[in-house]
Amino acid sequence: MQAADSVATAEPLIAAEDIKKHFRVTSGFVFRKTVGQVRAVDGVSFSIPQGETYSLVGESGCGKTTTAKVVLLVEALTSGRLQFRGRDIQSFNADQLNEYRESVQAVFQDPWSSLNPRLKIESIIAEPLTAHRRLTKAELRSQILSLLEEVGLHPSHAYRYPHEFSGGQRQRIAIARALALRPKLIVLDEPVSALDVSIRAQIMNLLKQLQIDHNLSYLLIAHQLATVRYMSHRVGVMYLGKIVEEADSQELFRNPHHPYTRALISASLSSRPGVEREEIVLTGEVPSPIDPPPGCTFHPRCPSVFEPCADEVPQLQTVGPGHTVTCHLY
Amino acid sequence: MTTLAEEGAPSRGISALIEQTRELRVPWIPTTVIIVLVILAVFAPVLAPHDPKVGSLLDARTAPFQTWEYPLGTDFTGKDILSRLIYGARTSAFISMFALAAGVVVGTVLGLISGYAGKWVDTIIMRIADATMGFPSILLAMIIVAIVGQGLLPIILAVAVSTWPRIARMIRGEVLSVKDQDYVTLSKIAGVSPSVIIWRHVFPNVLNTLMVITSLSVAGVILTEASLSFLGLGLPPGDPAWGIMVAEGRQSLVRMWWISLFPGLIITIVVMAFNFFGDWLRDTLDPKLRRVR
Amino acid sequence: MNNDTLLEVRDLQTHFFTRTGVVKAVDGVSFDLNRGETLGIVGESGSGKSMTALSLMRLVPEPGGRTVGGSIMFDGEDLLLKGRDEMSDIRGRDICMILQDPMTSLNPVLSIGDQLIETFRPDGREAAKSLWDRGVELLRKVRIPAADIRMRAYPHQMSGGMRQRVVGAIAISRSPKLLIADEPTTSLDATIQLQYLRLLKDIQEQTGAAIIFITHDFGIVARMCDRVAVMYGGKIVEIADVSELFYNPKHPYTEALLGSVPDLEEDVDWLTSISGQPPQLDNMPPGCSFEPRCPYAFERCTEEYPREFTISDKHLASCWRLDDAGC
Repeated sequence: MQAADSVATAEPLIAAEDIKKHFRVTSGFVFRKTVGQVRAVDGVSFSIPQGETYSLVGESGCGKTTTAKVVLLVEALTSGRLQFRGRDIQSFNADQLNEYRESVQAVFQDPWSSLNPRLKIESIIAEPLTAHRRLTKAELRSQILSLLEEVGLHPSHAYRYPHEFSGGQRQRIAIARALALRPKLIVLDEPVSALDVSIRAQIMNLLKQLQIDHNLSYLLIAHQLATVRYMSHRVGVMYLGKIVEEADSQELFRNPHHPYTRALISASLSSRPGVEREEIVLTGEVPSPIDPPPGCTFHPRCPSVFEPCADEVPQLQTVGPGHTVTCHLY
Repeated sequence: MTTLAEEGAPSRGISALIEQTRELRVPWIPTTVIIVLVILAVFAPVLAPHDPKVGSLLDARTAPFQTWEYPLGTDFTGKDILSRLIYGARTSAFISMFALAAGVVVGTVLGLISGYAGKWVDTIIMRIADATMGFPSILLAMIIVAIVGQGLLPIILAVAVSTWPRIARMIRGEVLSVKDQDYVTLSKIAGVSPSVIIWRHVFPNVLNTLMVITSLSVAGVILTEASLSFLGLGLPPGDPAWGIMVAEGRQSLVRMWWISLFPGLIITIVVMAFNFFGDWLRDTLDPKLRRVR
Repeated sequence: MNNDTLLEVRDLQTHFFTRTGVVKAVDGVSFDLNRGETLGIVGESGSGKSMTALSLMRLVPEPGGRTVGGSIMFDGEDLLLKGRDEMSDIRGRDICMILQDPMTSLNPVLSIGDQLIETFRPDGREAAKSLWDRGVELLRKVRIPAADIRMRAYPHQMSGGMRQRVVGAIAISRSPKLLIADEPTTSLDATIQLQYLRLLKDIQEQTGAAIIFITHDFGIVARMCDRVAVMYGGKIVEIADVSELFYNPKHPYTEALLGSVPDLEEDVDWLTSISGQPPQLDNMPPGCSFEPRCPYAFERCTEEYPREFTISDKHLASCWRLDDAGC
């Protein structure tokens, strides 16, 4: 058991090492020149073991969605390494890349724009299958029906169009499509935040059940902390393209270290009246990722800012088992 | 929405169809004009009382509304105006159809490629479109006529060339917004090839726009064709085309007003009909406008 | 109606007349609101919460939508009997809608000062200087630092939080008695949302206005509201004081909704979720609208919509289970 465990931790399904994604800001019409760089993702490292959920949280513009797009190969890396089962995907040949694409699928936030309004559910779910596998009509059909069943929809739904479904049902369809190729990792970008409250729990429970059934890994992008706590095993808190704190879910929420994590937790509303949280007021705005502040990028807004923060870039510190933080306080 | 889809048309038959047509608020006058135009074009040989190209010199310069023989009068060489108008519909319809088809196909394909591929492909196609749009269509027609000579082909070519850039631009704009939809990104993630994505996801979603701009382009195409004919850049002078007819009558506008007036009137009516029809189609098909209403 | 009551809504009915039939978006909604009180109206999409707000402002989208019954007594007068012009005056003066998204509420090509002064509806008799001073005063009220300089700024020169405050200043420029805050479904970042909620609290302290929150987020309700009305299928199914509703919910829908929200304070292994989909208003079940999703449903629920039961003075709920409880 011990041995098996250590093997599992030694080789995660997917690992990002110091990945960066910078977008060039250009100006000029004929002779485009680079006037700046948006450091959307600026040195992020994380790893996701098979069967676990890793969440990235942070405010909009912190780079969490860009990180997801890099993992999905929608955006090309500027630098750093992305490893799939211990091998650098940069070194992959066409077949291996194809295998990677099959293994990594996605569910997005907006169930209305995720489904082509002009296609029947059947064709929507069939699309990834026909792109990668040679299946007979009968095989295809039986796979579609079993996928629908798996996400809690009726077989007859296959012959309907997206507009005939409610938001929650559409998200189930999106999940069915993501499952079609039997992926190893599903990137969930705000999967429930566009849904009605009574539906969110259904979808979260469905995702958790599917994770158990198929030993799936999730990369969850979310801004609602309660959702993150419920869904994840491990959480990375992002600020301006960097992970400032990382820990197991329970540990992070019980024992947050970084002032930004604390501020985020204090700002999220309790779902019960009468629960008082210490209120940490963040002053100012998230700075522009084109021109991030020197030293610790959080220092202009940090309530606990002190001497070294403005000049020195803080180093990663381990503050507990599996709990790291990038802050001069520790 | 569910009920709407389930109780859709077929089961309830004709009454449902009538009901649906009423809901659509079809503009009857423009539609009728277009239908009449099509009938005239198709059945010209049956409907026209005289040969449009051969006149009877004895009956030359007959004023309109004088005899049943020539209800709209005759021209200098005794050719029946009414018959020439009817055959003119045929010419117009023929030229417009081919020119438009060519323009739409080229415009759509280039617009799709330009919008989806982006980057330098987009830049090149759009610069060519801009250049073509900036080039006067009449000059273009003259060059084409100078190269291939007078006839149907050059005028179709000239009109098609002046039509495609506008269509390509509109389609490109639409593609840019469809391209950002999550379902396109998800298809890319699923490893679907670009051609399949364009065909399955992008094209069907620009189809409405395409129909609207096509119908709005018809008027322009007819007008361009008429102007080119008027300038003598289209068919040879004797042939029945509305533009040519207007041109023929222009020397004696006061004494023999009918030679130019009737074809001029018809051009106006047809162009207006297509414009109104196009507007209606846009209002009906364009989901963005529908939401506002 | 005592003097403390600002708003008294009775049996409000707003229907949509479509080709396929009548959609009862708001179907008999009644509630009271005291001066300075904050009421949350919670519900999912299609519950009728936003349409209730629009009905109060007499802004039901036409054609198709119409308020067909009930009364809205606002400060002693029935808004449903008001003419178009009168209503438009009331909307500008006494009732204000405040949107969460500051970007769409401000005109990017006008300076903050111009937009503020515009809301005073100057008639030319008041001197420009005095209008300007009133603008500055308002910006101070919503705690915008360097207010006189900010008057000349344009929206894009201000941060999101500042823009939100400007929107707030515009909303209170005519000292409204009632603010209606309609929250869009997609939520903002927590820190920005918190700023917005603080701003509303500030405004309420400054003006003593009553606030109606239209939301689907229990977190907002828990933090901001004195009382909550839960809407489902065009009706209020339960209404109570906040802590009463959270800790002693009587309607199965309220109970299930509260149980399906994950909590940041504690670890939950498995949330109880509500099965089924929200009701479609054009296809309502004959009995209780929640019956198809209700774990406790029994025969009577399918036949008859439950009457309103009084649990305590300020706690009402519509569920047949309460009949046996002897309410």
